[in-house]
Amino acid sequence: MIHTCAVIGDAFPAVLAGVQRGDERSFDQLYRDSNPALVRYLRILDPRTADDVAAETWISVVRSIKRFAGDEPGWRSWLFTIARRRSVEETRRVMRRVPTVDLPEGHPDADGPPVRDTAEDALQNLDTRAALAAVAQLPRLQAEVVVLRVVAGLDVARVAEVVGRSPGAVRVAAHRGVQNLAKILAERGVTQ
Amino acid sequence: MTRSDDLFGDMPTLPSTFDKRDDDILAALVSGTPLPSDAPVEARLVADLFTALAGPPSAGETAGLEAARLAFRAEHPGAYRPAGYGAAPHRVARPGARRRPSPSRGGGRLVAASILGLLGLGGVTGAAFAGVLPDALQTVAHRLLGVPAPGSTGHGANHSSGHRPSGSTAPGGGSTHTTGPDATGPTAYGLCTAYDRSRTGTAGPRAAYAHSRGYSALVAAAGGEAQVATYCAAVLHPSAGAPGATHPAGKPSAPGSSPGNPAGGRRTETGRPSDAPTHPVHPSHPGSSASSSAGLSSDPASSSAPAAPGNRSHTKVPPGSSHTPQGRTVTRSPH
Repeated sequence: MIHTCAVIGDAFPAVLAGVQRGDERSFDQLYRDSNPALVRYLRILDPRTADDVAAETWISVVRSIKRFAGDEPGWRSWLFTIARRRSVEETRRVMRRVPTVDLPEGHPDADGPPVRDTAEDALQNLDTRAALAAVAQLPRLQAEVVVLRVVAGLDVARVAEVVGRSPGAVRVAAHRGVQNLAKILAERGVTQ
Repeated sequence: MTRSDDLFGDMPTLPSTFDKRDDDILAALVSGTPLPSDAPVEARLVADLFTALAGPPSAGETAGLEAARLAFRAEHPGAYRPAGYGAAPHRVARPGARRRPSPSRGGGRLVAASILGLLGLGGVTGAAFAGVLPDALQTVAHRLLGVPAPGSTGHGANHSSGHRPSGSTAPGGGSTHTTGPDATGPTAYGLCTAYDRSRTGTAGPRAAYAHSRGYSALVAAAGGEAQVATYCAAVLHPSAGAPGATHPAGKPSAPGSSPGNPAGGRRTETGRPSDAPTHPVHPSHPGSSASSSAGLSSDPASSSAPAAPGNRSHTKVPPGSSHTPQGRTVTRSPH
């Protein structure tokens, strides 16, 4: 796989055990391994809340990882499931805050709350940012599935768990996502 | 990638730019294996895009590590840390500025001391309450300590009361610090941890602590300097969240916890996590971990996280049993 999660592999049980007993080096390893993919996924879900949700996701993780038992794919599935639910909650919260007054067209805030410009964040390398921007044009489920498959390295069954859909629906979404990306790239002449 | 894992094994035929070679090409795209030599140009573009999408992590993508460590340390107060390992709470990594572990920070094992730094010892406290900490750290502080959440500094009419520490408005609270922490709420745990630390410190830090807002808030909540030790002895970990876990009247009267019964209350010594229960068991959920049964409303462990395998039966939060640091109730509004 080409995913961003560097696979911890055989060392994963030791790393997990280290985290569960409070070893900070193990925690650092787990974080450095997982957070880049996590942030990319969260940016697809909602760029406004991605950083906050990532931070809150880790708070949740450290509180409950003592009770986690599973292998490395199971860990990633667990992590991304927490993150997805957090993101949905946070986006709802943000939306509730948005004033519902109709602003005149052309008003600086007429398009809703400002979405942070990922280009200014410099969070990702340029290529990665451009790729994420292209994927963000896909319908939501397709974009999620593509990122979870390609960046997080989850298999179809795990992706289905995370997004709460059937494996068949995940396969369809991945298929269509790839086709749509091909169209987007061909039409726009986007190169990496 | 095995064949059974491929993306489209049972796919109906879809209009495709890849035509009949869909399966092999798509499988190669997602798995990162080389494309067939006759793959169309679109497939190569997508392959390049996927390579970029999964590109190497940048420094900015691990910038939240310091904040995450803070949360981690708060959960493992007694854990051993190599000398110099870890980081000061206020030195949050910035994108592109990976910092090194500082050898002068030998006391990395003083876990909640990080939190203490936020609460009790001056400048950083003010920064946190003014909402000027970097967002990730602010989020941690918000969750753990009850300082305003990121983005909450512009007090709108509908959430100024929600995000202001209630100690600033509590009648008769006796707090002289209008922006100080509320030591009668969940924040008490962190404040008391700071208090414990201060008593084992050297003269300088102790003097600084005695003038801190955190200590003032504790004194106010306890009803006097002489009562602080007794008050703190009964303060529960915030995630315990049981009724009576906080002391609205400023009296240490939580059921199941007394000064002589640390197992039911806050740990004042840094026992190994495996030696002592981290959280008291919630009385109404025998056998379940309190941290998962009555955590903060937005803690997935209590409200939305998938349960860890083999541990799926304890996600309910007793109504009204706990509050967020801002006093919001944990029950989520239906929508």
